[in-house]
Amino acid sequence: MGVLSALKRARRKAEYLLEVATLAEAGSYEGTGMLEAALLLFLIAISYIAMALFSKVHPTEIMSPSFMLGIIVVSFLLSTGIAIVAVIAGVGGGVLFTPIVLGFTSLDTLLVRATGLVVAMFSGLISTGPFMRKGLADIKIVYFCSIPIVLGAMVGAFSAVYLSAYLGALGDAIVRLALGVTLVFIALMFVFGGAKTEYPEVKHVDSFTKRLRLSGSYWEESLKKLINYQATRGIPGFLLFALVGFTGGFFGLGGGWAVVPVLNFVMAVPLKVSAACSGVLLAIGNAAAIWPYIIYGALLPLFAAPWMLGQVVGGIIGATILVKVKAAFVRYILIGILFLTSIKLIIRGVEGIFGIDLPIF
Amino acid sequence: MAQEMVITKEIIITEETKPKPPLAAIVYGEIIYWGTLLGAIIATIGTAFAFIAGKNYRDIPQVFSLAWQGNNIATVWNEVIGKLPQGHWYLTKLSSGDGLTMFGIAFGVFAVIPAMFFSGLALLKQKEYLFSALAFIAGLICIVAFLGLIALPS
Repeated sequence: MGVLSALKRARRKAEYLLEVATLAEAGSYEGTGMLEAALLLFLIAISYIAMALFSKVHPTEIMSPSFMLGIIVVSFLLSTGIAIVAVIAGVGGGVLFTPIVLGFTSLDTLLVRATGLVVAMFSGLISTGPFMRKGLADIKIVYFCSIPIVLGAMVGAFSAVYLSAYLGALGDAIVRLALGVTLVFIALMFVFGGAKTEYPEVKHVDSFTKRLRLSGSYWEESLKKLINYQATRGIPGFLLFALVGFTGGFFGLGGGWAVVPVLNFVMAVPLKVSAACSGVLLAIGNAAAIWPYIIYGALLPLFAAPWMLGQVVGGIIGATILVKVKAAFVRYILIGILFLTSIKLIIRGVEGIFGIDLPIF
Repeated sequence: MAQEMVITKEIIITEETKPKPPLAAIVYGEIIYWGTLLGAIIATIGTAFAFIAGKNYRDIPQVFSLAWQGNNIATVWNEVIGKLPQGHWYLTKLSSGDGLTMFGIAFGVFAVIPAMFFSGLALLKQKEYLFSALAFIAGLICIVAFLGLIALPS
């Protein structure tokens, strides 16, 4: 009898250790997707080398084939870098890509915003699988928030296409100025909104949210315990997500910078669940917003593809090194980039609207 | 013995309380994950094909040059094929490099739609009627966007 119970205990212990090992791998994003990322990176490297060696693309007066290939390779590397910084800073890549490219290149704003949505959504798409597998993203919260985000994003995308079609260069200038002002707001939010609540305490749940049963639990590996949570303030959250969706769809920013604060501050969802839901929601919102751009023809495939691939590869690398770098340091870099870019965008916007040339960088 | 007792207690807590991700979440996550990866692979092959075979729907060097000069999208399309595409042009141009690349990107984006519907079905099976309905509504909105049912300026 004693032997039997000892064997049972040993079996349970082995199963427990196996369980912990599985959680350590699947439960942390860094353990998943690396094989796929490595294979994809290998395929991309082979493709780019083959493109350099066997190109049949003819030169134009403006560009040689090697220059075109250079744009593609640099875009891929930049996208990978942006994805790494964005993942570590906890935002979507679009919030870096769109302002930087709009601020410092002459590319058409519609093209940049369409590509920005690709950048914003693909790191979210690729992280959806691991987040769902480890039970961090709450499917009920995701679907509740997805409706306003999707609707807002579509309205934003259509507004962007209409503005570009009917206002031309003036529309571009307005977009740059508005985006510059929005970026100042986002940067200030990062400066003053640092104190996020990891496990928010909910003292009162409104009746609407209570009826929705937006509650759940997840296994917190760092504490080795189960965390139960209950979301609240469903209606303000719903309205704010519509605004987040619109901004993301209109500017091609995505919305990762705002989804986490709304879920965490307003709806009192634990930080980790908020971050996981944010990636999933980004993908959903942008999936609706990007179709009007694609149908209009605003996405140039060979220009967008390296940005998409960089997000997939960089998203996985970023999550892998997430645990080894100081997030605060990356946050300061992000704030610096956002402020600098916003100044540039505001200057270009003012120059475009008033037809003047401001002698600032 | 005391240590073993603690471990036994931990095992019971772990096994009894650790939540398994709901089926709807797993279905949703796996469809999107593999759809995105497949889309990325297609886009990579398409880009290489565009350069190596040199067979493209639009003249790639001209497109790059016009875009690089800061021309707006309408001008780029008008200069190259004489009109805006207004639709899923790449579906009929899969044998071209740029068409295949665009298909890869669109495939990755499209993965969200079946993921929503299948996870909606899983939620229905779990008797989560409200969230199942929300999944279908979100999926339908994405389909409306995908089909281009709302007119765009030409």
